[in-house]
Amino acid sequence: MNVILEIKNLTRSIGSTKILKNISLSVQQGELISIIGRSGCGKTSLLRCINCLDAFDEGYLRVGEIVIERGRNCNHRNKNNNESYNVKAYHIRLKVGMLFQTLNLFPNRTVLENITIAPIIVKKEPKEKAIATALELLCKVGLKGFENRYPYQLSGGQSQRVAIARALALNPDIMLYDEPTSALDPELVGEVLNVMKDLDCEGMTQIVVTHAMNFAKTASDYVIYMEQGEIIEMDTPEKIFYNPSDKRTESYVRLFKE
Amino acid sequence: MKNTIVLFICLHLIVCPIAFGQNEKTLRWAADAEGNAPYIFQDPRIPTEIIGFEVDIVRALSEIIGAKPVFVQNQWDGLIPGLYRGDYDIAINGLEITEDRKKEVNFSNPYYITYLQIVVLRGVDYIQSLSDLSGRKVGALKNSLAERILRAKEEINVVTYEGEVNAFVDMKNGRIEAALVDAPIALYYTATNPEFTMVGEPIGEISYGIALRKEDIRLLEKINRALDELKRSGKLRQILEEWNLWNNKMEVYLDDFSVSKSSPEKYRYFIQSVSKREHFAERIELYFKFMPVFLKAALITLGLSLLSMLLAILAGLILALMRLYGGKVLGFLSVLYIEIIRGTPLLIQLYLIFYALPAIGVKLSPFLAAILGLGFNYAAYEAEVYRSGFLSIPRGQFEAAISLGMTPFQAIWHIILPQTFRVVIPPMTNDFISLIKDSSLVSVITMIELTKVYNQIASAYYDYLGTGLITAGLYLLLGLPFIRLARHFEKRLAIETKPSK
Repeated sequence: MNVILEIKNLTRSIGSTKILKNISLSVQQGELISIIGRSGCGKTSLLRCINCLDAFDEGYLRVGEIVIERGRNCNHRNKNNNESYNVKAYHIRLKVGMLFQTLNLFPNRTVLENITIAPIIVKKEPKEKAIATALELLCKVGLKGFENRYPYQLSGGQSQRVAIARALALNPDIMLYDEPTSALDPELVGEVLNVMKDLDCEGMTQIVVTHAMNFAKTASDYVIYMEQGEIIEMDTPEKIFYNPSDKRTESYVRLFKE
Repeated sequence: MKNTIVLFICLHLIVCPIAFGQNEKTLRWAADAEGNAPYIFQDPRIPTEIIGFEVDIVRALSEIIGAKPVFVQNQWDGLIPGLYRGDYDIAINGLEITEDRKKEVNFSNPYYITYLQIVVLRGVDYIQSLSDLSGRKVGALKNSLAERILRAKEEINVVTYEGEVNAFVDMKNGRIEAALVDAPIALYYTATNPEFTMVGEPIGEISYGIALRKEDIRLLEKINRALDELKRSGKLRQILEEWNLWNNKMEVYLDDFSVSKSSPEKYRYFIQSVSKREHFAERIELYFKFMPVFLKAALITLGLSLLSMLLAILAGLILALMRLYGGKVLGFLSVLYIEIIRGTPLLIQLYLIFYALPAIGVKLSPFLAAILGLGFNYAAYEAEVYRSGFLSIPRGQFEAAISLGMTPFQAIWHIILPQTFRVVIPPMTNDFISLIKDSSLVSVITMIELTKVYNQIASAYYDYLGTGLITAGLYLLLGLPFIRLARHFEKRLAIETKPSK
């Protein structure tokens, strides 16, 4: 299979605190990976580094063909290299879609405009084509007929589904989700997770930071457990949840056993 | 398209006054029509006409020189600086020939010599001379001979005023007991306001001269020769007699002790026109006559405010973007600009733009100087309004846009800015209303706008209440449509974000 995302020895610090330590990870096309762990363990930071919203200090990141290498021995501190970092980061963001914990649809635009604005501006798509794609995506996330509503007229679950459609409109290779359901009422969680399962069936590569253990258990190809900025264990859901090889993983998953 | 039109207007306004200056056949003369009768003031019956004994003298002089007189309005304080800006060639407006002023400008020979006169309320019989003023509060015009004479006597409590009429009003209200003013003012004011009276002997001597730039020696000679001609022909005496201003000092100065030749018809015309109107209807009728003048001034105020605000909104946006996203250097420059502009008075900024910039070769027309002054001043405030607007948009909006593949510029332009606009509409409307009123400050750089016209008319008629209410009402009317417009926009934009209930 084709490794679409590769991370080697990635480190990120804020001040003197290391929030990501020596992260290495490779993800194959079409996989759905769940990242679990306590608050503050670095799950969200890892996602933000993959999407280049936050810059890492050292390490290697490859998304598709694009490689970013940073660190002491890479002589990356000079200005020229910084510019090339920004350009590469921009291209990585084009290939990676991201969904946030907070609902951040653009409040002054309709559902349709929310979805079409990036393709029109970023990819210079003709408006008609962007609209056609957007309507198709709305069908896919189960929101046919919602195109002229404003974000305030949507429930949380509907908002997140529109946000997924918005990210998909750019035709990304990888989708990242940062606790996509934690801001939602419990009865709305399912509708969002179902969209993600559908995408998985279509072969989309997805990485989900989540507290929805059932989803992680049933839908993931692999589960990553993180603690204090490190990947402790990465394995199949069965292994992580029923037969973890590390004690720290075991003590965490035990919290959800009852 | 809109910008092209504005640019065109601006260019037009820069070029025109300069074009005027090139014309040899004109004599551009400046005065402040806000001064009182009998110098230069608005004709009480035809408010668009400017009359006064100095107007008559300028006309007579121009006729002899063979040039067409062109009147340039300027604030009295700015008459001499304006000469050096090159806005006009001579200034004539009761300018006393003093040693201090002679250092800055050349004066023609005196065209009028007068004295100071004490004015009190009728019935105040304990004041008859200068010595009776001891221990009392006495009013005088700021920086005048009267002030210097009063200051020389330590026991007198001197109160200074911008205009003589303010001193008279204060006296009526009991804040001062007497005023020492130029005799022509005393004569005209007491004649139209019988509750005041002149007392005592003439005090001191004041010579009025025409001010010219130091380098204009040829013009000075021409003016002096023309003045001599006016004196010799009896025309000067005739003008002064028509205005009831012929006095002993002039008899000595012109060595002409003959009996009166002309009747004081212009004096009478003024007294009759201004004397208290008993009938309410007559007063209303008068106000209607003022209306065209007021409305024209209101339009100037409106145009000025709109163009200034447009500039402030654009420049403010650039400043805010520089400060928030421009990096260290641009951010620092933006903060520096905002703090300097906010921390210094608009009035000083206007003076600098208008009077100091020509020294380095930048000569702006009054209209353009006013728009730049007001616009760049308000830009500093609008920049801060924008900044608070930007900061009120959740960070997630920016990140969402970035992660959708937008560049930071695209994210700001397409996502953040449109949301910011709705937030800043109410405070900006507020600032615009405030700007409409601040635009009255530009009268110091020779713009004739609403407040200036109010001052001119009020001082010509000694009527501050009625015309004041009209002016206040006009300002209110100017602002109202914009308050309504802003509310309309707010409502329309709010529909998109809040559930309608």
